Amino acid sequence: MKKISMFIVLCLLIVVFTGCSSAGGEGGTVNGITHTPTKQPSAPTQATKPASMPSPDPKKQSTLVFSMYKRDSYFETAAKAYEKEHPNTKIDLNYIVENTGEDVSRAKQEKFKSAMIAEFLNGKGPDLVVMDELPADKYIAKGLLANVGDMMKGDTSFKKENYYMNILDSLQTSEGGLYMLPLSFSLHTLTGDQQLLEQSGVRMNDQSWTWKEFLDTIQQLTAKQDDRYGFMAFDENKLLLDMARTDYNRLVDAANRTARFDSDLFLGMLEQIKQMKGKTVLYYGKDLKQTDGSKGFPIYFGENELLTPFQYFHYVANKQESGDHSTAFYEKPKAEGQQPGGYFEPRLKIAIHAKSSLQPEAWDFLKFLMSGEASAAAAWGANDLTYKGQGFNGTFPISKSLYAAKTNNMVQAGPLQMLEGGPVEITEKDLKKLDSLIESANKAIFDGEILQIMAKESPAYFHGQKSSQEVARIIQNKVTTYLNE
Amino acid sequence: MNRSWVRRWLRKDGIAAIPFLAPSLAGFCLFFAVPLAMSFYYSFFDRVTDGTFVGLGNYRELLGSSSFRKATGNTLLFSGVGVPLLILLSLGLALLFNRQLWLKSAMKTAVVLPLVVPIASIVMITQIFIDWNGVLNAWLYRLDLPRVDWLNSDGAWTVILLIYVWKNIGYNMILFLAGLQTIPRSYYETARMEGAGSIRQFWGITLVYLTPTLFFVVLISLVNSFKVFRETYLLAGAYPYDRLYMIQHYMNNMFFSLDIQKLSTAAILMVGFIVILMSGLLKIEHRFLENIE
Repeated sequence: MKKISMFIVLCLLIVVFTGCSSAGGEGGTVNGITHTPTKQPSAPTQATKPASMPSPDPKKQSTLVFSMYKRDSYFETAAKAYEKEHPNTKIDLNYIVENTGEDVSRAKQEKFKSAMIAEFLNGKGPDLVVMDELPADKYIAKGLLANVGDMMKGDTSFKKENYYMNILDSLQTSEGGLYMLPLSFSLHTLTGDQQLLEQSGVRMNDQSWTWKEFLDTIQQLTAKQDDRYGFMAFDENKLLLDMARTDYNRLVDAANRTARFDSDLFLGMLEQIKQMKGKTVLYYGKDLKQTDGSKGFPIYFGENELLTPFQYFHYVANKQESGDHSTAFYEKPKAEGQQPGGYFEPRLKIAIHAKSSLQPEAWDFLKFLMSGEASAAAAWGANDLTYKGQGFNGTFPISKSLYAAKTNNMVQAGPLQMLEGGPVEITEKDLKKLDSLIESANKAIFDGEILQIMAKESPAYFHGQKSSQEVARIIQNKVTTYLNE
Repeated sequence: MNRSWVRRWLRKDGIAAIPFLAPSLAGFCLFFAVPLAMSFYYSFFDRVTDGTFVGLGNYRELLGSSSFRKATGNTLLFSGVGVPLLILLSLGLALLFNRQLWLKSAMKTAVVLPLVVPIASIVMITQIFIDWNGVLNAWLYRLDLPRVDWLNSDGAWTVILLIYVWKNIGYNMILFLAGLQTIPRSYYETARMEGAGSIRQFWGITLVYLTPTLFFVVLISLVNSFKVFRETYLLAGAYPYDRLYMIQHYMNNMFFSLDIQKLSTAAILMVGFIVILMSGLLKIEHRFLENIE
């Protein structure tokens, strides 16, 4: 008897010991935004028609729990404003860090991820959560997030025309569900000197070009003249990420759990990126210092991520300063046969817990957050340029009316002082150009474990440590492991 | 009549033990027994909250997953090679230190020291050693050999094995030394008088009387071979080189995929495996001791 009980205790001890070690561990993976365009086979299919969302009972006392990894001052002002309007609703804001600077090792982010998993699986998670640091596709597949798209459709007081629906529509899953609403977004574009490109006589169509066509184009451009580079990219790895993202469905077949990173397609990407280096393509981080800008290196195309409207005007002004004739923004290459439209990156994506008992209240608050009513009324001037400290207030808002109010402020304020160069007058015509850039954006930049595995291994090839085949084989193995778990 | 029975019962030792046992019993239930029972329960459902019973569906899915099979194979291989190697080396060291030796205590300390080194430091030193621009590659370069990306080659497995042996050899050695000291000197003297050589003495006396210790050391080594996951995870992340992908990686990744079902199922399978292994070991030990008597 004694022996048997000792034996059971021993066995349990072993299990616990091993269990302990798997729970520990810091550092680890960096999981950013995860929005997979591929099918989520186990995603709950909402058979029911979007029922009209019951409006929150104004007499009911309720406390909405709103969790996030990083603090955003907008949430605080918005929560205060909302509580003032709705005295019976309390907003309980929870965040882990003030800013990412205090969590360099990402240990706190890991902790946030584990805490959210534990809470959600208990059915006790927060009513609203910012999904930017969480693997959203996994949460959606487990049916833990409410379909906010249905709430939106069922709410007659929600004015679609006030929002950038091109952005929201392109975040739908393949089943048509929308589980996260981004409060803001940034734009990923190519930039170039329109006049110069037209003079070159090389035919191009940025509405439809694939990466191959784009790279052919810059090769043709550089063949004509010798002092100009074709394209200045951020760095090799980012270029690879962009290329892999457009061809994601050819590289990864999630339904059949197979990856094709050992294919000629991927090897071709790796090799082309390296081949072009220093000849037709330059890499910002390596080939020139931040302070040089592009002045010392004349280029045809550059790439840019616009975080604020001001940044758009600042960029254009800066380009003019360095001798551009007419700066234009072009669409980044896309997959073959994909409809025209630029890329955007959703930010501050908010989801509602599927098991929350306060869904009407949560939706009402989310609607309030989206409307941007409580946003600081500051103009987007030079002082607001830095995205970091600004959070929501410094980005493109999903609300058209807020965008209009802010850009209007900018026009009214008269000539804007730029960081370099003289004041620049912003006209309605300039704003129109920016508007069309926003309106045409319909392709979300997504991330995920697979792209991160790729981005972690490929520098070994770019730095000349390994051959492209070796790198591709390692990525293929790891991604296959991931897909077959 | 009745009261005196209660009083007698209360005076018994068993009752007196309960308050002393209660804290550890509560801890045991809270941290071991209840979670295990819950995992067992979850392994038959498709969802944690309001799930439906799926029978052996999770088990079937798990065994059908090539990554799970890979993880199991790697774990078995690592423990299968690591544990015997560790035991052989630590037993050898223990036998060495059991006799008079120059600088014995200093050397003993050196062997035991890795036990108190924190994992973070081990990981950092290892990184310095095996990095692309690290110490090992500098040596290779000096020998005109091509550099190796240690974490993404079969060398990674050896590196982790070395860490495991280096870290645990001291502890095992102490256990063996303690075991060796319990063997009466007179046995050896008798054996020597009977004309037994040192090899005969080792097989006939040392190993036989060391068996209970050996059993315990195997157990601890096995547990520690599972624990090497921490170093692997910190060195190579959630998706390491194929050979290093252990069952704990699988479980850890399942947690971050919110797949508690697969996680529980994997844990239950692991418990089952360990229970079978342990009962086998116990039976062998039992038979062995019976034979001696």
